[in-house]
Amino acid sequence: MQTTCNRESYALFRRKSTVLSRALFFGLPSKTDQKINTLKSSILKIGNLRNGSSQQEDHQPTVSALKASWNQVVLCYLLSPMLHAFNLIFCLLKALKVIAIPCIMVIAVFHSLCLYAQTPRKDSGVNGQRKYKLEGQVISAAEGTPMQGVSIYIENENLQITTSKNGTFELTVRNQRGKIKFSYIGYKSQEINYTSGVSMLVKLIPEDYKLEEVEVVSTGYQKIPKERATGSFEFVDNKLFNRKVSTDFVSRLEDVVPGISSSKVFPNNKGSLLNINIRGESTLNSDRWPLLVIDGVPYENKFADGGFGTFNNINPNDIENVTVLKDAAAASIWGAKAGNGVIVITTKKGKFNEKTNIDVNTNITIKDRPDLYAIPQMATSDYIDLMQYFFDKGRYDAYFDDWGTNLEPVIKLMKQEKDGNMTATQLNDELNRLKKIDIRDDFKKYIYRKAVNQQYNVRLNSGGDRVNTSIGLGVDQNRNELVTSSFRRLNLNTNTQIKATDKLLLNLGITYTESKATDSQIPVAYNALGKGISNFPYMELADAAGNPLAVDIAVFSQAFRDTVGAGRLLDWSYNPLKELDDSKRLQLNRDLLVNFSGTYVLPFGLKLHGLYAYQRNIGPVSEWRGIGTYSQRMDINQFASWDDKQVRWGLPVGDQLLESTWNSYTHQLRGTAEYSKKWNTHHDLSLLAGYDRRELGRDLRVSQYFGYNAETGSFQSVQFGKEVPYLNGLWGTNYLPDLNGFEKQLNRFVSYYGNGAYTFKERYIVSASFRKDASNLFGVKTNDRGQPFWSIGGAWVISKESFAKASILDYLKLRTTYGYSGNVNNTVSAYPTMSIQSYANSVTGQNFAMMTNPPNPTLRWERVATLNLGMDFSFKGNRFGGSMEYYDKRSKDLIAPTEIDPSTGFTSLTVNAANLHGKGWDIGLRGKPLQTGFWEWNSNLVFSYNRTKVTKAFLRSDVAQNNVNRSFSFQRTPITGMDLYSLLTYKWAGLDPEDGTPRGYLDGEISKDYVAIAGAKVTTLENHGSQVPLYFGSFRNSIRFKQVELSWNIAYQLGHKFIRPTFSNDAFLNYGSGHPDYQLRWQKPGDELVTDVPAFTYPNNANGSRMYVSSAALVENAGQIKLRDIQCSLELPAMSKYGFKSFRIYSYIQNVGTIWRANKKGIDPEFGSWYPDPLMCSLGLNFNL
Amino acid sequence: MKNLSILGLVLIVLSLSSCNKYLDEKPDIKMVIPKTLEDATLLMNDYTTLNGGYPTYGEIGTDDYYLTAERWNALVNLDQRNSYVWADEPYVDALQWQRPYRTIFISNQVLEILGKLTKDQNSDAYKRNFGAALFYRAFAFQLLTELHCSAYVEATAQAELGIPLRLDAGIDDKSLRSSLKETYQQIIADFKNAAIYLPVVEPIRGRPFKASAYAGLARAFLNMGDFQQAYLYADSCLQLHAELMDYNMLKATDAYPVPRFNVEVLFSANPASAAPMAATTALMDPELVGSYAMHDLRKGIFYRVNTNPAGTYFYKGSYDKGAALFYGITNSEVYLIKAEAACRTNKIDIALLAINTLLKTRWNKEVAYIPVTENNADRLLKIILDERRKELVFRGRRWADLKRLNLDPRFQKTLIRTVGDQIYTLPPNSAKYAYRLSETVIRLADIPQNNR
Repeated sequence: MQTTCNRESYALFRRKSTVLSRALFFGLPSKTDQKINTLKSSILKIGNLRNGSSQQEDHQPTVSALKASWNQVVLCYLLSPMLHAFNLIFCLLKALKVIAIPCIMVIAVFHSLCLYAQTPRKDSGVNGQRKYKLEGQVISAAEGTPMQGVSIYIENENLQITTSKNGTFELTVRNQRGKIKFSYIGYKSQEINYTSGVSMLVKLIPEDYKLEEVEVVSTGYQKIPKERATGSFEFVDNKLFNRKVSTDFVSRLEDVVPGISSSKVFPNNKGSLLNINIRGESTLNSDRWPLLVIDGVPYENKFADGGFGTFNNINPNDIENVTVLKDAAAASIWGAKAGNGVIVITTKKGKFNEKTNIDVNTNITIKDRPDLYAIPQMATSDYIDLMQYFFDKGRYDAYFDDWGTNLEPVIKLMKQEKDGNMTATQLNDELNRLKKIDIRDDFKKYIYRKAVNQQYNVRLNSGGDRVNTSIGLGVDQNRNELVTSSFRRLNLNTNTQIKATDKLLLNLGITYTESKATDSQIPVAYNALGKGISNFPYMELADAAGNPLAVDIAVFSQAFRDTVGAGRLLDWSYNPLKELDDSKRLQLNRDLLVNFSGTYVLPFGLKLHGLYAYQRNIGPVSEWRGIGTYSQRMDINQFASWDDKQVRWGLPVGDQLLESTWNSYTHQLRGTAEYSKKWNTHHDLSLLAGYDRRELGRDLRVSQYFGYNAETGSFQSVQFGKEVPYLNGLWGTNYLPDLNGFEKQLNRFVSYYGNGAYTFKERYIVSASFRKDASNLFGVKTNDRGQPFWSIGGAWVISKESFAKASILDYLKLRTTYGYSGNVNNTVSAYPTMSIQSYANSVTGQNFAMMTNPPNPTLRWERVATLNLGMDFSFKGNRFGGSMEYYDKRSKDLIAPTEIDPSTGFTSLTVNAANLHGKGWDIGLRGKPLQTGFWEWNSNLVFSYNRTKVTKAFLRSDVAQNNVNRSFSFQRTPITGMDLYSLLTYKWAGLDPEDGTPRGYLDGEISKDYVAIAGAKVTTLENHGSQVPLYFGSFRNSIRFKQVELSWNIAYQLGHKFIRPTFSNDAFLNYGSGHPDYQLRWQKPGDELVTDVPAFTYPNNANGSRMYVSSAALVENAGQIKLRDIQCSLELPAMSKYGFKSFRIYSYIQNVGTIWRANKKGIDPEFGSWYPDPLMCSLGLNFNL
Repeated sequence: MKNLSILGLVLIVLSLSSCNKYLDEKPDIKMVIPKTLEDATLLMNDYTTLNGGYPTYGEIGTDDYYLTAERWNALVNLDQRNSYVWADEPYVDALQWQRPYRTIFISNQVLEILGKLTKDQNSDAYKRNFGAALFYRAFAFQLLTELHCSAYVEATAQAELGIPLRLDAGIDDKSLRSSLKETYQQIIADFKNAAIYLPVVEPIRGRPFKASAYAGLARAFLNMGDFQQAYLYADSCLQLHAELMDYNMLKATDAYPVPRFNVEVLFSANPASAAPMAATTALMDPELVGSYAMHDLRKGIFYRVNTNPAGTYFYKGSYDKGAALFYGITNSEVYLIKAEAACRTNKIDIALLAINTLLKTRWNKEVAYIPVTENNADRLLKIILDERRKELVFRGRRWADLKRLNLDPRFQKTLIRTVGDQIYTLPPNSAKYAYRLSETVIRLADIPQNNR
């Protein structure tokens, strides 16, 4: 939007104004009646959409070449690689039903607003009888030559003429001011404001003429033409941003922005943490995610300590564009918060003098059931054979009569056979039946399903010459892959701009979001339900007919359960499928964001800007566990005590409800003054200074209800914290759980800042910035509370030099910046502080406080110094171009624990102790290898290199076993000189040919002294380099033929290593978790030549197993190249017949497949030991009325 | 509109001037600079920190149990493996040093807070906290001394190395090892002061009371070989607090038969976890298990039969009712101190009375108790010391007892460990009884290592 406006103003008035937003101010009065008519017709159109009723549109499609008939549409539709077309149609119908009602309501509200806003002005000339003369010339912006036959149209006057041979035109109009539209085939049509009596020079821009298009980046404080920037900005425009289909906005930045990397190895972090980094990590213990800024206001990406992050509330459909600030100069304006980079989001806004239009975007995404078989699991037959082996070895002999142990079903069967209660044949038959079972089959069938995400979004824009507004309504409805899980989000976003006077512009933005994430309170996912990874692989969740089965995983022996409490206790049986709906974890998030700002322009070029933003976020999490669940019944039984006469329940018999409510707010107050001046055509100066104040408060209240009745809301009183007999005293006593809690935090920040840029002759640019941040960092002397941050930068547009005119390069710019940003960490304190615990001590039942900090008066904020060298270029008429950047990022004074004398009572003290050094390249190349009338091919290559090393750190322990990695453990190695995420392993000497036990190295010799190997210094480990990708990026191609566009994106991550999971004797003996590698184990001498999997031994040397699972034998190259997605879209200009300004059908397929992978074990290192994201297919519709 | 801009400027100026106050607000409501009496109470209620994490390396090295080679090999913690065989290797882990010093830090912090609250001096809460802080500090000093210092011999104590005596709540002061004599003087002074301030009855469990301080003094004087004083303080303690549990009331079939905070407990303390002594790892010394009389209930209460290897025993008698071991002070220990000190100071009758009072409660009530009647001081002392070992199994006493008893040729014992083919011995009065300081401590605190 910003881009378009700017282009127009440039072309028409040759006004290379620095204040781009000024383009918004050009407006003409339009007739009130007409506006209302348009509105009415819009409403009608929505109502009659399905009947195909149409309105004559004055806006003709720009390309008329394709006269699409319905046949063609149907053909394309079938050809589009969608799998679920029928689903879509069904859902669209449903969507329209859902949308129609809120739409009409919104429009009605808006209608009245417009009526108020569009009161006719005195000089609107409605009744004027005078005639005015209008004249001018139209030339081509590319060649500067006059253009003949350009069609000129003045809608208000119903006048239409064409330009003469020399491009001139002359008209007589009734109104002194108005709107005039120029159109010509192959050129972009332009509608501009005129004032009679001034001769107009109009430059028309060819359709494919991109050079003059000015990309405008936003720092959140200012909008800067990218041409005039010295820092590192990445701009993601609306089209690129909307290429992907997703519920969240974060994933849309993946694979398209150089320097942004994402991590997916920890499935639990999904939706909970932002999970993307800009140019690697720049801190150790402070928040490591980029700062989010929405319309100039920092947005907390997470308010609650657990569960879903607030960033999920951001509706991607509300976003107009995104700017990513990567270096110190770009991000300097954000000072202490910018150390991890900044993501600046600009939301959609209305325009002045814009015809009312409604934009509808809806899509449906279907995600395959996850591939549980990608998670390695031991073959059931191997597992049962091992159980038989253990049984024969007498491993369980001591436990058959132990009331506190419940042996697993196959062991009980074997015991029955041994006791003669079952024949050997019966046992074998049953074991053979069980051996055919794979626990994953039932999980896939009953616990997982195809996820379906529906997204509906309607946006209404309208603008008069004084007021414009934009209202968006979005509904997301996700049925997640777990049968118990769903997500729902409702967004209402409005933005209104009011031109109060010619000099004062007011802006009011309000966003309200309500989201609801539903899950079962008791985990049901694979490897989480029941005993988690210790579930036996022959577990059956349902019988052949699909009836839920009880699963025998109770803690106590059957005999004990049958007799304890003489049958008066609650049922001990566990039936996972039956109780799926008996527990619920509901996380609601209600978020209100109000952003009110005013801009006042003083005549001499000074612009004053004031902003106040308020955010209120209420995030209650309710965890309900019904009496239907095994764990609730277990808890109640365990807190019961009994004698012959009665059972006394410690906890009331009934449900349990735990409510945690996060209540958070932010206030943001800002005042800035901006000055820009141009003189002598050679000098261009812009200055900005301002003051920010921000307060962020949050509190948490936790309350618990026992004996809760969900229908009546009633509950029973419980003496929380009271000591009662546990399991009738069999387990001694325990305290009735007291989970009530209260927390309250407050952070305050005050900042002053200023920046300036000076451009000479449009080619030499210097910039500088300064910011001082201070916060209520506890106990620090007032003078030390703040930290200054600064940056300087310079750029040289070589292509503007006269000597460069003849070069093949159309554009060449070199730029460099250096400066500081920082990281906030207010959790530390300089005073000796104690923290009063929100719960009572579990042993004494007393409230207490812990000493958290010894006195530590030298604390200060972390700083990140970044040097950035960049080059932007384009050639061949801007068909090829790109930018290359090199950066050197030094994070200093990182707050990290450092060792102190343990006799002080502390092992470490959190001080500004560590330094990191990151280096890298960000390269983005674009090209248009092919462009003809019908065909267009666009190609984008993103390449990033990032390596973060530790230059100074405190190592908590320099013992090998504390720094070695396990499979996908992603342990950091803050060891001076190493990568921050180095993959360290024990050196591997192969298996012992004698007995197949693992061997490592000790002091250079082959050794089996596992304890000594584990206890050796960290320097004895093998360093395989980085665990995080060093090289990553994507290669995106898009081919357009007429109205059909097909694009695909290939993503790659290279240069890193991982440890693959394997069979560990120790893990199997302790947790029963196996791995198919069991079949590759050493079994006889000679096997050591072909396998590294140690022999299975029982009893087992646990230390040997631990050495093996962290050994160099298991290291694999993690590099891979994936076809990430395919997008296909079809514009249907023919739909304009039915009143659509634009009509587009699109389909999108995600996670298509792997093109190349370094490891041949079938492991997707991007997703660690969890299953990879399944194939997702989307079909969507986007139209504008 | 000019007004508006002026207003804006005024606002900015205003906000600048009020900036400092604005930033004085603390970021977390629970982040508190401790300074009130109530804060002191809350800090002294931090049971997990103050009563837990005491060093256990010494006890790992005692003769009360043994490990099979497999179990020893399966141990992960190198320091704990080494301490089992008294290996004179550098030790890395500093936690068992740091944890007691955390208790000392908090005690010092509380003493510092209270030092500024002179107007509250006469309140009960003030006295309770003041006494408790002194007690905790002395208790922690004492357990560290028992582990890391050599046996106390009055003549040489001034020349022997003690431990750093940190007496204020800062972290900037350098640590210095005091002499053994100074160390014990500090322990005794702290306990004595604590006894003055502590209440006779303490309703909050886990906190010390007056009798606890007397018991601490009895322990300290026993270690120092000052049996006169040990006798007096043991007696003072028992005058205030003499209850013993009747073991007939305990159920030997329970997994953990001894209740937590039972009437015998004078002060509750837990050691850092000791993997070699874990409930299903340590096999009890057969000689020790075999030494209980047939009707002595302690065998059933303290031990659990183990089938693999057959005929061995595990320990289950923790006074903390659980797998965690108990290194606190109990009345039974004080009875034993009293008996020993009385015997050594020739109060035979008193010694007999004390030992019989204790043993009677351990005896099966179905069977008549046969009292100890030995009149020969030497033989009686032997009986008392044997009973001491049988009563205080895995209670953090054995290492200190071995250390002090080795000074007397009558009770010297050479400890032997067999791991596979390897045999390790610890001769009496070995320098290894003063356990090595962690190398981490040596490096960071810059204090001398024990003589080797």
